[in-house]
Amino acid sequence: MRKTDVASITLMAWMLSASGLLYLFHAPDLKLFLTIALVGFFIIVYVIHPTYSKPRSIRNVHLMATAGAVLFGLVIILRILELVEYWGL
Amino acid sequence: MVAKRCKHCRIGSYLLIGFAALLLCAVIFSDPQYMQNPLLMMSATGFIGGVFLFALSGDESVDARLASRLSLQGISALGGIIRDLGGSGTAVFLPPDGDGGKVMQFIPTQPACRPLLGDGGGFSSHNGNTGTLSHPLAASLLEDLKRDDALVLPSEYGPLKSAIQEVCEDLLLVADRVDVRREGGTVIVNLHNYLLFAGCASLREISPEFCMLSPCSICSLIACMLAEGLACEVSLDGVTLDDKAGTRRVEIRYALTGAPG
Repeated sequence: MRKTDVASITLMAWMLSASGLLYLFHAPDLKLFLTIALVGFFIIVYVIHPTYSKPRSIRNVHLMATAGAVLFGLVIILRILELVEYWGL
Repeated sequence: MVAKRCKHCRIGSYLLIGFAALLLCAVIFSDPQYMQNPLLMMSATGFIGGVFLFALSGDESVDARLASRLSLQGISALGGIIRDLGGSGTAVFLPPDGDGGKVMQFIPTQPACRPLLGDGGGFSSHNGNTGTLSHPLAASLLEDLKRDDALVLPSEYGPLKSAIQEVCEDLLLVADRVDVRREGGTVIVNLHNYLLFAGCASLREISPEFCMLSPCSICSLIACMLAEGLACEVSLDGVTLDDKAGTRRVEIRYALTGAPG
């Protein structure tokens, strides 16, 4: 099995497990789920990333990672705003 | 085979993204508190998984059998010409001569042919042997990889081994797994589930001698990488094909001369 196949399967398994666990713990929150899913995604990208070359598929994944980083930052900012509102600062 | 694989990846990614869109529509139209709906997480799972699969599926590629045939176009004819011109023994890959130089391939000729060569005319001398000096078959491919895929060749054996694995597994996708090991002055490369196995086997059926005289495709590429990376002379020592239980394994042995320990 190729590295990319393993990466795809691992990411899907990670996201399905995360959504299943969040549902079991009665916390099906999209923002929390996105954070967990993106952490898994970044780890997988780090692991499959080649050191001495930059294949086209990895360049596509880099674009996806950039979009993911923006989304991740947005979720974190929203969470901080929620906390600020909660503490009444 | 690769074309089918790519096609399946693309279809899978479209299905996942379509499934995610359908789930999203269903959740938005049926539940006012949709941000807390578990189906929304399933939708996000499908979308992220689909986009990831799409990104990894790469470009359209040709069928493995066709690629295998194309990579061997003219090799047997070339091997025949080299042999008829007096080519004998094993081709030697010479390291680049200074910065900006390129790897060259030296094919020694039989001593009996030397008087026919006259005063050199197009032939060269290396370590006391007379022969032909030409660009290796994979030289242009190596240049393309450096230019288009930002390939860097390390000068130490350990990192170079990883670079060879990356090129075969991730860049060219010619093997599922690549093992590289060194035994003294010999580097042994094992390509598991080699994509161009059929072409390699057919060439060896015609004449195993051609592999040594003028290594083609991957054998030439790896030799070029070793010669340029380690700055030493590299020659193909032997190629073994193994198709027991459909493993399609190829073992390539390279002899290094003057390589750093």
